[in-house]
Formats: sequence, structure tokens, C-alpha cells
Amino acid sequence: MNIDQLGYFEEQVLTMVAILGEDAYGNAIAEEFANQLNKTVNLSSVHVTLYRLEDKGMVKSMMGGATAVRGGRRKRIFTISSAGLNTLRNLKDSREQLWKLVPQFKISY
Amino acid sequence: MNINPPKLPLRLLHWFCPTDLVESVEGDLVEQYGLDVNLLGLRMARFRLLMNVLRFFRWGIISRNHFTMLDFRTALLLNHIKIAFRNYRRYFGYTLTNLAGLAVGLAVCFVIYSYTFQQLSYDSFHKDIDRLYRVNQTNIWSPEGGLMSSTAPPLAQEILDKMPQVDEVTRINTPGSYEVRYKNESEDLMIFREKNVFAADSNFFSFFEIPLIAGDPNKALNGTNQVVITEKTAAKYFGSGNALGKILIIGDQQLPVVVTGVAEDLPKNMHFSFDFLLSMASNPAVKNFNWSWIWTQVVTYVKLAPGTSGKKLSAQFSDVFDPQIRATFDRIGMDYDGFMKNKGNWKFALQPVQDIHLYSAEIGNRLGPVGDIKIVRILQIMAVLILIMAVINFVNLSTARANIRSKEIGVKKTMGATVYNLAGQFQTESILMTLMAAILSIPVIVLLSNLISTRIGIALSYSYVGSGGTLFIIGFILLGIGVVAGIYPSIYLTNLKPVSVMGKQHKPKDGNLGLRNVLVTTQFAISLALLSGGLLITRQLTYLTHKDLGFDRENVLILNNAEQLNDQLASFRSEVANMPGVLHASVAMDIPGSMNYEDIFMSEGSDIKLAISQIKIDPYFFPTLNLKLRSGRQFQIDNQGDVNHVIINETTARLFDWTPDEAINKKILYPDMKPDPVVIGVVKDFHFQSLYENISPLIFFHNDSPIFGDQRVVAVKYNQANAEKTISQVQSAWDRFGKQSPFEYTILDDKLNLLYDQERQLGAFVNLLSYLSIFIAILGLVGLVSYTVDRRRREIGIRKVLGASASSIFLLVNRQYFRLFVISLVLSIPFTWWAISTWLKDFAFHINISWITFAWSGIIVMSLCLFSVGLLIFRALIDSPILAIKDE
Repeated sequence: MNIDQLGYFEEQVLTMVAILGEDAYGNAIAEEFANQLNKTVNLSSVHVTLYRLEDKGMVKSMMGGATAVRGGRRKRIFTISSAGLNTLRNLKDSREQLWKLVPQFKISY
Repeated sequence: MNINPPKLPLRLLHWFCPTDLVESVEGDLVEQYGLDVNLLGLRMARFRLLMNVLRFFRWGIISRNHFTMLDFRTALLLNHIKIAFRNYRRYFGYTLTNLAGLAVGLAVCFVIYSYTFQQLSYDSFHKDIDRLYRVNQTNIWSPEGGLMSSTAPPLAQEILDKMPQVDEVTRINTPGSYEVRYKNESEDLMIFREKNVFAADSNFFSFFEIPLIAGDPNKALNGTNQVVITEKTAAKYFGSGNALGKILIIGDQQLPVVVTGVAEDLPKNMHFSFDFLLSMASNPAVKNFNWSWIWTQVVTYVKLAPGTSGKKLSAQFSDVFDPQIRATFDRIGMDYDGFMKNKGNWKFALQPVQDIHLYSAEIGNRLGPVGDIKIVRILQIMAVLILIMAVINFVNLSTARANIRSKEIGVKKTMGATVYNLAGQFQTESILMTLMAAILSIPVIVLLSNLISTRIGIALSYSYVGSGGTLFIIGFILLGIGVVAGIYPSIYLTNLKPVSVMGKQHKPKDGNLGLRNVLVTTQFAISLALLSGGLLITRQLTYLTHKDLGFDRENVLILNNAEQLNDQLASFRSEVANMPGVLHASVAMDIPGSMNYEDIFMSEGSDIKLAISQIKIDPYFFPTLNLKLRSGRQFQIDNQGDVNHVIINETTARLFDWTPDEAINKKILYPDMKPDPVVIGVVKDFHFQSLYENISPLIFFHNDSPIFGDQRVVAVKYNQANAEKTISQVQSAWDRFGKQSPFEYTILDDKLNLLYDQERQLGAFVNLLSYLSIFIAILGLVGLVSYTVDRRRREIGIRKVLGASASSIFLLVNRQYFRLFVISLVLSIPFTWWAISTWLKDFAFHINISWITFAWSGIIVMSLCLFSVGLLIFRALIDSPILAIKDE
């Protein structure tokens, strides 16, 4: 799979979906960004990215349960597809491969 | 948990967010909102919700719409348009009627607004225009006082010295007309008579926004014998060559002046316009009279400090300068209080420069003609009225034809169309109609502008339309007109009940008769009012230009600048007088229509001081203009003693408390003039000024009298037959005598008519508009009647079979309109009467408004209606009744 197909933010969102498992929906992902990466993201960007990932076949979505805090509206739960997981793994592998080639000592002059 | 998020942002979200996504998005937003309420408080949470919703308005979300909703709307709109065009085509005559009316209405509105826009834009382009004021003062030369725009030279410096609120002062002086000579490299001499010569202070170009294309604006007028000319003038003298530094010889003193600047051609919408602008120092008189507060020969402008109120400052002016003014009177030995009797206090008043063009009807403008805000307002109102008439046509015709559309409406309603869908249909039709009319109005605008520039003499400029903002506003206005025109028809038509319109027994009614009648009456009232107004203005104009003025105005040729002939003048006159086509010829200082040299005269044995117009004439003047004596005699040829004699008019005699006979041999007192001139004759009053004025006092001196006034004209009374030949003979004689002076003549009659140019323009405008309004009204009437005739074809057919006469059928169809017509005639009269009598009040001499005019306009419009409607009905009448009856 061609790794160019994922942008950096897409990759991050996809990773979040993988982390959250059965509980990945817009708000939860945005929160995860805040918790794990200490980074505030725009809810609308998360949504747009999720839909784009769905278009690319990286995630699947289904309507989940409604809760009172949502005023009775259902969540759209995203789960990572095997294609998505593969892509993430490929990305990680290629990055590690490259990392190994970097000289592992301090550069001093 | 009780979450109650604000509704508006979520509704917004629903509007743009795809349906399959909206629920989860909304859920996320609401969840976040709940958290925010706890964390940040209600206000902040609401704000963040709105912001978050707005952030969803992005391509990534919107593009996920499947456009199902939008698709439907677009399709509906396209359908509306399609149906609109089908309807237009099916009822082509109706469409044409509407289009023609609207196109004419829009064109008129546009043209008139362009004109008024031009009028209102005068002087608006000067920088700091809101701080520029003209200083007006009490008109000390009119017996009744009032304000005038001329002031005296010392005022400017005094203002600067005594008024800290004034930042800058500049003056413009009008030295009069000059003969300007220029000898080019090849020694060819050019001579032109230049009438538009001003002189101005050196800061003129920093005060007014007049860019120089050559020369330094700060130095161009900074010294003696310097002149700034306009681009056009430069081209006249120097062709395409460089003008800067060239020497022009001006005036009788042959004063050389150097061109120090060339100004861009002046914009038309400025309250003054010059060809030559001398530096103030080039006219020594201004400096010489710097002590005199009654040498009112300059116009003074001030620039106030920011935030200063012109009104408040005006009040201070009057007190500050009182001592100086009194000093002037002491110096010339005149009695200040006696002089100012009946004229009120010597006041100064600041007038915003931007108001000069339109708000100076009484004050006047020393530097050029002025407009009149009244005329601008009248025209604006008329334009709106005509547009309203066109819109009324649309409303009337669409509601009258309601039953043609009623089936369509019924079916659509049964199929589930909402009132809004239907209203949308009718709005679409009316907006489309307006837009088409706007396109059609372009040729009408071109036609009208041509007509206006050739017949009325006003060049309209549409350059302001070019800017995007204006186009946007025009588009918006068109849309507005379309919507307004469509409102009533759509309300009316959509309220029809499907059951009643589709039922078999439904007898379609012809719309709302009551309202339609009101509208038709309004239309006719407007066009009748305009027509009678136009007729009355035309009558007043005819009166002004044909009234017996007390002298012969026909066939009199005026040769200007005759003083150029110097001592040859007398022999020139006698040569002209002896030409075969010439009856009389006279040399005089001035001619009726332009006599405006006044001074103060007193009479022997009384303390009455009168401002009297002064004119110098020769013994041939009375026969040339056919003036009649009331008593005494006129000047005699070769009577040397007449140099000390004067002739006065009846008004002067009356104001000095003399009967015409008593006046003979009375002495007139004029300072510095000895011996005192003696009255030898009293001339019958004649109108030597415009008919706006009552006849003022007038005094005739002999040409050789030492009193002021060196200007001369030659008046030539010629025979109408061979007029052209005579004029060319006079010209060749002039060329022989005058050599270096250009031959310039006017016909007295034309010159007098020019006094009423503004009235002529107003009359022409009102007449033009009244014709157009009649056109629109008749268009509407024809539309209505043709529809009625159409509906009643069978009825007419049956009546004909049963033996009804043509006239009875004609009456049948038109009876209601006759009634409406009479009502509108009655309604139009008081309005026109009031408007025209207000207008006539400005004239000292005017016509009386008579019933005949209204009768005439009623007859004219009525016969036009009868003619056009008659044609329609005639068509229905000549159709064989069989065709009509078997139809169905």
C-alpha cells in the first residue's frame, strides 16, 4: 500500500480510532488528542478527516447508542478496518526502517 | 442531565449538513456543549457552540450533501422560469404591454435620476468639502435687501485676522471679458474674445480640487501678470505645443501675461468654470479697492477649522466688521443708515460650497449659472410616479387575468403545491419581467438621452454607472421593483380556492375590481396632472417669450464689444444705418435683458436715495427699439447740451414722487458729477430685466456723459427680408472698421429668450414626461380593455346578432372607464393647480391658471384613449359574430 495516501493528521486520527477501539467517535477522538498529545483539535476537522478515511476504506462506521448527554442523538462509531490497520503498520515499519539508518550518536563539533 | 442547547446554531447546522451525517455531528456538538456549560459557563458555551457549528460549514462537510434538497429547489426554480416563459409567449400581447410600460418607466426613472444625480453631485469632489463655505452678504444693491454672493476685497484678510475658526480664505474676482491676443512663432496674430476670465488668490489650487497638468499649483498665481488656462484654451492658442511660459496679450491695455499653469479641463459639475484664471494681482482694481466694503466685486470662500459650525460663525461675522463698513461710508461721505434703509442689517452668512449650485436661487452665483433644488425634487417625484404607473399596469393586468391562471393554480394546489410555491411562481414571473424590461429599457434610455440633449440641451453622463457598487444597487432596485410588482398578484392569485376555481359552475370573476379601479384612476390622475402641468408651464413660457415688453424685440441685431472701434464708432454706426436692409442703428452702453449697472442717485430737493440702473445711449436708441416717451423729449442729434441731460423711466419718476410731467427739468444728483444732470424726458416703462422682476427704476445718460460705463454695443434694427444678407453686410463693414476685433453678434430676441432657459428646460422635461406617462396609462387601459373584449366576445357577438349598435357596445365595454376617467380628471386638478401656482409665484408677471387648460388635457387624453380603445373594439365588432358564438 502506498503510504502517500495518508496525510499526517489522517494518520493521527486513524491511530486514535485504533486506540479507542469500540468507543471511537468524533468527540472521543478530539478528547484523545487532548489527553494523549496535549493538542486541541477542531471537532469539524476530526469529522471531515473521519469521513475521508471512510472514503479511503481505512475505517468503517455504524450508528451507536444514544445517551442523555447527547440529547438523545446517536453516536457514529468508527472502527478501523484491516486495510487501515495494515496501512498504519506499514507506516510505522517504514519509519522504523529509516530511523535505523540514522547514526545513533551525538554529533559534536 | 438537563441539556438545553440554543436552537439557532443547530438549525443552521441542519440547513447545510448532509442528513446522514447530521445526527452524529449534532450529538457531538451537544455533548461538547454540555461539557462547556460546566466548564466555562453558559455564555461561553453558547458562543463556542455557534463557532463550532460555523466551523462545520466547510467544503469537506458541505460537499458530502447529495444535493437532493437543493436539486429540488433548483428544479422548481427552473420550472417556474419555464412556465413563466410559456405564459409570456402564450399571452404575447399582454407581455408586450407590460414590457413596454415597464421599460419606459425604468428608462425614465434612470434618465431622470442620472440628471438629478448630476445636479446633486456639484462640487462634491473638493477635498474637505464639508469645511468649505462661501461668504454671502446682504445684497446692498437691491432696494429690498436679501442676500448676494458678492463681497468686497478687504473681507478675506479681515476674516483671517479676526476669526481663529477660519483656516484658509480665498477670493475669486470677475474682471469681465477680455480680448486676448497671441502671436505665434510665424507671427500669425490670433485674437479671441474671452468671456470666462476670473482672477483668483494664490492659494486657489490648494483650496479647490482643480489639478494642473502643467505648472506648479502653489506658484502659478503667485505674482502679477500670470495666468492659468485650461487644457482646452491652451489647445486653442498653442495647439499641441507647450503652453507654459508663453505670453498672451490681454485687454485694451495690451497687458502681457505669462502662462504659468495649464489646468485639466474643468468638471461640468462645479459652480464656476473659467477659461482664463488670472492671478489676483493682475487685476490692480482689487488691490486699489482694498479699503472699500462696497466694491463688491469678489467672491470670498473660507475653509473652517474642523468641527466649526458654519451657522454659528455667520452670526459672529456681522458684528465684527461693522466698524470697517461704517468707515468706508465715512470715507466716501455717504450716510450709512440712509443707504441701508429697508435692506435690513448688513449681514454675512456662510453657505456650504456644496449647496451653492442648488440652493442659490435667491442668492445667485456671481461666477456662473445655478440650478434649483425645486426642479430636482419635482423631476424626482415625477420619475417615481411614472415608475409607479408602470408597476400599476403590471399589477392590474396580472390580477385582471386571474381567471386565465385559475385552473393552473387549482391543479397545482390540488397536487400539493403550497402557497409559497405558487407565490414563488408569480414572483419569478414578475422579477423576470422586470429584468427583461430593464434590458429593453436600454435602447429607450439611449433614445431619451438623445432627445434630451438635442431638444432640451442637457448632456447626461452615465459614467457613474460603471462602478460595481452602482451596478449592484441598480440590480438590487430592479429586484425590488420586481418583488413589489409581484406581491399583490401573488397574494391575490394564491388565495383562490381550488374547489371554486375548478368547479364546473365556476364563473370566473375578473379579479378585484375595486382595487383595480383605484389604481387605474391613480394612473390617469398622474398623467392628467403631468399633462396639465406641462401645458401650463408651456403657456407661461410662451407668455414670457412673447409678452409685449414695451419695446420691439424682433429683428434687432446686437454687436458686442463695439467700444473696440473707439473714435470710428460713430462713422461705423452711420455706415450701418445707411445700409439698405437696415432701418435704424444705435450705439449704447447696454441692451435690455442685460442691464445691470446700478448706482445710487438722489434728486434735487428731496432726501430720497434710489438704486437706479444706469445706461448710456445715443439719439438713435429710442427709434431702434421703438421706445415710447411719456413726456418731454429724447436726446437730439447734434444737441451738445444733451450731454448733461438724462431721461428716466416712469418708475423712477414715481419713486421720486413726480408725475411724468413734473419730472421734466428736475435735477438728478450724483456724487462728483457737475453740473447736475437735468431730466428732459420720461420714457414709458418697459421690461429691461427678466419678467421675474418688477420694472425697476432706470436712467438714460448720453453716450458722451462722464458717468461710468465704457462698454458699447451697436443695436441694429433690420428688415426681416434679406436678414442674412444684411448681417453679412454689417459684418464686412465691421471687419473693415474693427480689423483686430472679432465680430460677435446676438439677436436680441434670442438673448431675451435665454433669460428663461431654466423654465424652458423644466417645461420640456415635464412635457416629455407627461407624454410618456400618457403612453403608459393608455398601454394599461388597452391591456385591460382588450382583455375585457376578449372575455366578452361571445356576449358582443350575441348582442350584435340581436341588433345592438356599435356605439352601444362601445359604451358597454367602456362605461366604467369613463367614470374613472372623470374622477381622475377631478382629482388631478387641485394638485396641478397648487403646484403650478406655487411655481408661478416666483414671476412678477405670469399667466392666470384657467380651467381651459384642464379641459384641454382631459380632451387630449380622453381622445387618445378613445382612439386606441376604439381600435380594439372595432376589431371585435368587425369579426363575424358567428366566429365568436360558435367558439367553445
